[in-house]
Amino acid sequence: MYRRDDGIMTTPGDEHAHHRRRTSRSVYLMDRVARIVVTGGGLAVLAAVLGICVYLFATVLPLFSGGSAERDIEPVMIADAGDDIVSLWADDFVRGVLVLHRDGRWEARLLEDAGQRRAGEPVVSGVIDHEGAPPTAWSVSPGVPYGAAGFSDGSVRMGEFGFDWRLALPEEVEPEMRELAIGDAAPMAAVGFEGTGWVERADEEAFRIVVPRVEFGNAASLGDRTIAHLAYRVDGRRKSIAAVFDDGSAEVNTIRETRPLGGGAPRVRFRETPIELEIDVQDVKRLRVSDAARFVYTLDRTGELTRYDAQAGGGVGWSGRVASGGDGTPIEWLAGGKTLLVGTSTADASGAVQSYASITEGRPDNAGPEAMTAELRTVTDRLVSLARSMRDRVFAVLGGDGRVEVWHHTARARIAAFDSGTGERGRLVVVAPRADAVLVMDASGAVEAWRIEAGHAEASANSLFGRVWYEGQAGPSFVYQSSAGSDDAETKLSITPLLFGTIKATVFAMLFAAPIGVLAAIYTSEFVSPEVHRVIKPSIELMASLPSVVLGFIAAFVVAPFVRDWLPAVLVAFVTVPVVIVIGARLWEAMPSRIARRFDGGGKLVLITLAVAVGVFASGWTGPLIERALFTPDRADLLVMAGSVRDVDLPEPGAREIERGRLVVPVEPEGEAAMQVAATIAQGELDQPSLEQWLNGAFGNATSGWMLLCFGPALVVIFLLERRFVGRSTASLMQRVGTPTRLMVGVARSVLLLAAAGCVAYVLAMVAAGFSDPRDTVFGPFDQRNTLVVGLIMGVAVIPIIYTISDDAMRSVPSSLRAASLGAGATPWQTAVRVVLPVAGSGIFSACMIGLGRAVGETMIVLMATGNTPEMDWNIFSGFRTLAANIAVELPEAPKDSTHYRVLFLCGLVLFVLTFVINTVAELVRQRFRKRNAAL
Amino acid sequence: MLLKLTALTIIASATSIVELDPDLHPYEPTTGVSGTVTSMGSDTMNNLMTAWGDEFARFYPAVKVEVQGKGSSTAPTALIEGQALFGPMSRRMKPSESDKFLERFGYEPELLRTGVDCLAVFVHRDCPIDELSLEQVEQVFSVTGPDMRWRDLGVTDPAWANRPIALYGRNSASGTYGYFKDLGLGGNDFKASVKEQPGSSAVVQAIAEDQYSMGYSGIGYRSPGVKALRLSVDGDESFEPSGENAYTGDYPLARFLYVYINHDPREELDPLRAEFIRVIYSREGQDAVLKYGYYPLSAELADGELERLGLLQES
Repeated sequence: MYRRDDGIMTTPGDEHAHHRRRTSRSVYLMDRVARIVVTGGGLAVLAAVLGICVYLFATVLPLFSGGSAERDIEPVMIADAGDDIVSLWADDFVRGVLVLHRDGRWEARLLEDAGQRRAGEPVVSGVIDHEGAPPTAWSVSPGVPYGAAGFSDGSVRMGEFGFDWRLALPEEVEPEMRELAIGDAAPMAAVGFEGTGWVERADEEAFRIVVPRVEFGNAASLGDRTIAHLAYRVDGRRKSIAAVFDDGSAEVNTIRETRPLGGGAPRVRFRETPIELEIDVQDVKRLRVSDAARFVYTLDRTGELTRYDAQAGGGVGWSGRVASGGDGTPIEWLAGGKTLLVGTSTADASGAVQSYASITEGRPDNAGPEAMTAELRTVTDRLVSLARSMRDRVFAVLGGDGRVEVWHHTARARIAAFDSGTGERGRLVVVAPRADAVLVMDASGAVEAWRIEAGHAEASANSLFGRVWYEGQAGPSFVYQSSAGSDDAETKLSITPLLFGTIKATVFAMLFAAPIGVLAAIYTSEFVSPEVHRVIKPSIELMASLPSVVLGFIAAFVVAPFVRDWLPAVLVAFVTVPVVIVIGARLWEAMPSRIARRFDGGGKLVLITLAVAVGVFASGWTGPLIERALFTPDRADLLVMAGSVRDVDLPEPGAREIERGRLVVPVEPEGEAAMQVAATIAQGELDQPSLEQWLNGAFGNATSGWMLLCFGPALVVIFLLERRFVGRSTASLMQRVGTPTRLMVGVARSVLLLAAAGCVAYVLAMVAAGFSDPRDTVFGPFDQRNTLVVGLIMGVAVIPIIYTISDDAMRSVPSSLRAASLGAGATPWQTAVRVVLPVAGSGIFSACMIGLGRAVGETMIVLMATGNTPEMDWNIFSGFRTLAANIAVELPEAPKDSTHYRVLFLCGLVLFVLTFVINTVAELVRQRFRKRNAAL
Repeated sequence: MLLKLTALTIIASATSIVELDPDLHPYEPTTGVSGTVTSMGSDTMNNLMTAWGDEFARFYPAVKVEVQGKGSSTAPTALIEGQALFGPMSRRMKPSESDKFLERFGYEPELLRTGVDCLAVFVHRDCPIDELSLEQVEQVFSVTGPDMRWRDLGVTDPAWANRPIALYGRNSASGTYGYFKDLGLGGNDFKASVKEQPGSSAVVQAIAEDQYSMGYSGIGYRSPGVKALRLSVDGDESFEPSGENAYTGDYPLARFLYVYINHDPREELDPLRAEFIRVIYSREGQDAVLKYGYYPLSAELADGELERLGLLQES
């Protein structure tokens, strides 16, 4: 159609027609409006998708941006000399510091005294001593809000360093304080608190009253020897002390507090254990103690780090050379108190931090060897001071050249670095309580503060996607464990297990859904009459309308318990149902054609349904039989389970590992013991066959599992081979014999094939068992909420999609092709497989891809039917956690814009990219198919 | 106080049923209370918040109450974003969470102790085990232990001995999850095979259905299908999760149930929240605590909390 100048629409055909009609204006208007609406709508959709993509990226990107450091407070003198200061604490808002001197004097000072009223004077001060004597040993760390002092008479005083603060109204502070600028502070005698502190203007209407608090308890005696070194730590309600005395003896103490929730004073329990050190007390440079005083660490003059096990009587548990030695080697616990950081220097004299953690993974005694989980190279000179954050896995180091670096340990990433300008006079670095600032003190007693913007330090490309050696673990691994009840736990954000779970769920669901969906489509589009098709298609499509939360519910509370109760039958059904259908087909072939014709159409469908029912029934019947044949424990298994075993050190014939590192050989009991073993077996019904127990590794060997796995594929191969080499030649023969003979031969052939498949599977299983055990791969310990259940139910959710699109694709194949094929003498099956299927290939492929997309993003079924366990194995009987389920589970708890929140968006982005890639591949393949079929 | 506590203990040990402290004040309604009470947070305390809400609505029919419980970790977020007036939590707020609150409002959230709970380790009611040490609990649930079978806990019954222990727990948003990780597992990670259930009752239900399983949940969700284990620490005597053992602190996983509110210390609490808090600490409110399987506060503790907020009425 084209438009003439006079606005009359014409088509070439009626150019010369007599009959002309004017098109009304409203039609043009509608046309224009429609064009605008359609274009606009299209653009809006594009913009929306693009917008979502941009938003996802914008939310995720900050995860990968680094932190920064900025000078906040210029150097301020807080003491005459810095060398005599053992530790420093900053208040929550980094306006002042607590300074502790070696002789026990402490004072609190404002870093910037706006009022200048008492410039150079401490705001408040005190002294920690014992009967007038100064401490002989300290256990204090910069920024750590507790500490202990040891004295020459063997007594210890434990206490806290910190600041209390509260908001105050302007009328609560002295009138001249009301003139303070925002952020400025001035000393005053505080109202409402005991003690003196300072006032800081928080904003226009509010002031903060901050009071330094140094609270030390009464002395507790550890004996009458002089304490030379002291290590003290607090873990919740448990305190641990390790002390080395000047006579070389040492001991550890734990103090456990029981808090009565009904009210009243806490009860305290002491436990004291002497330990023996292997080194001379003069050589001890640093002393540290682990949680519950389990381990004591010494660092000596030469840089040897030694761990003593207090539970094993103080023997050396582990030792290794970590540092170049010298007096200045800083050593500090990381937050959580499980990783020991040692500041050292490398061969080329630059700085490095080595972190040590004892391996507890798979160690019931919690006394695995110490492992160096990381060595972080700093660009500083040798390290002078090291400080931890109380909030997260952040620590700061000060190099001998005055450079300061702030690191996040789990991410193994440098957050910020700056040159403090103290040069080689730098002495102490402190991380502020909220980990938002770092203070540096030099030898002259000058302190400066730097603001730290950590960003999302715990997330880095490595911690999100790579293997990380987390504390306590035996090696680097992928772990996702994002939350804990306290800040002490190490956040583990590797999304690799989630990606793996997503793929695992998709693969198993598609293994089930794709063949069924496509075969069903072939059947309904090529083999049934239009009337039947009209009934079947909408009913299958109706399946898609089932809400996935309902499916998930059914999966968790109906299917999962059912699968557990009928496990062998469910597995066997994957073989019996197809086999029964094929046998049914054989019988159908043998049927005289006039009977066969009568059942064609709907009747045939009923027969097929019947065959499926028979298959299910057969699996219920053969399942327990197969379980009995393959998964009954033999005599040796029974003896092991009943505990009649002898430990052996080296592998020998018949030996098996029943626990990590424990090899045993079953022993045939005699006399009394034989009765007992027999009674144990009878009582526990141990001799009953059990597939579940076999999966759990309680008994048995690999062969039976391989049998189960190989039988299905072997059957398919045997069937195909028979069809190829024997089937054709016998077909003509069969035409000449009577119906009863044909029936008998059909059944006999099927039985023979089954037997042959069994033999082949057995041979394959014997060979495979020589290499591996299926329980290490696709099989493994049985969990009620497992992948098989999810695969089945998710299959149900995906089948309708695959079916309906494949069906449409095949029905749109021109019937001329079909007619030509059938006319040339091909059977309907040959026509379907060799003519229709290739032409409809693109459609079927997209059907599978769309089904895949649905499976990848499926949330509720997975959420409800698995335990959401972020495991990484291919075991079909264990659970997993998918990206989508993870977002659903954790989003409500993630504060907006926190790292956790952004990591969840990253999960969303990864999911988005995954489906995008799948769809793009699908589209590309479809384009190729379409080009090939364009000629048709 | 000491006398009172002793009396309480005697009653509890005689009948093993905790009773309300007779000194708790009955609630006296006032006027001028209106609005909607919103709460978001702990799933463990879901029943409890709803019960207090019902009690509150009984006194003030015009007030609407909305309670959501997806897990304690949702409470700080909700308070910071202003989505809820009350944030019930079954653990204390982490410093990193209160930091975020502080950044937003300039003061710290107000902590109220509202009841006592025992975090219980549950097994199927037919399980041959009755007690565990915390060290064993850590081995079973945390990555420090190997994958455990029942024989590793000393079960000799051959029907159980060779079976793996199926593990159930709460989702990570839960305060119970965090508290258990901290105190039960010594801060170590959960095994990846611990199945995370979306709610406390789902944990108990799963254990009742999966015979060879173990899990943890608040004592308030105890059901006839499961059994709560006695727990011991450091090789001491073991204690069952009961009110008596929670009050003395002998049961190692006893804890307070908290409610956080956003209270500017420079201002007085509005009547809606003030009266709701009074209901929580009243005889009726603490009776609800008891009714839902948790343990009520002593009158001294309750009055102490009210006094701190300036809500204690002289009677």
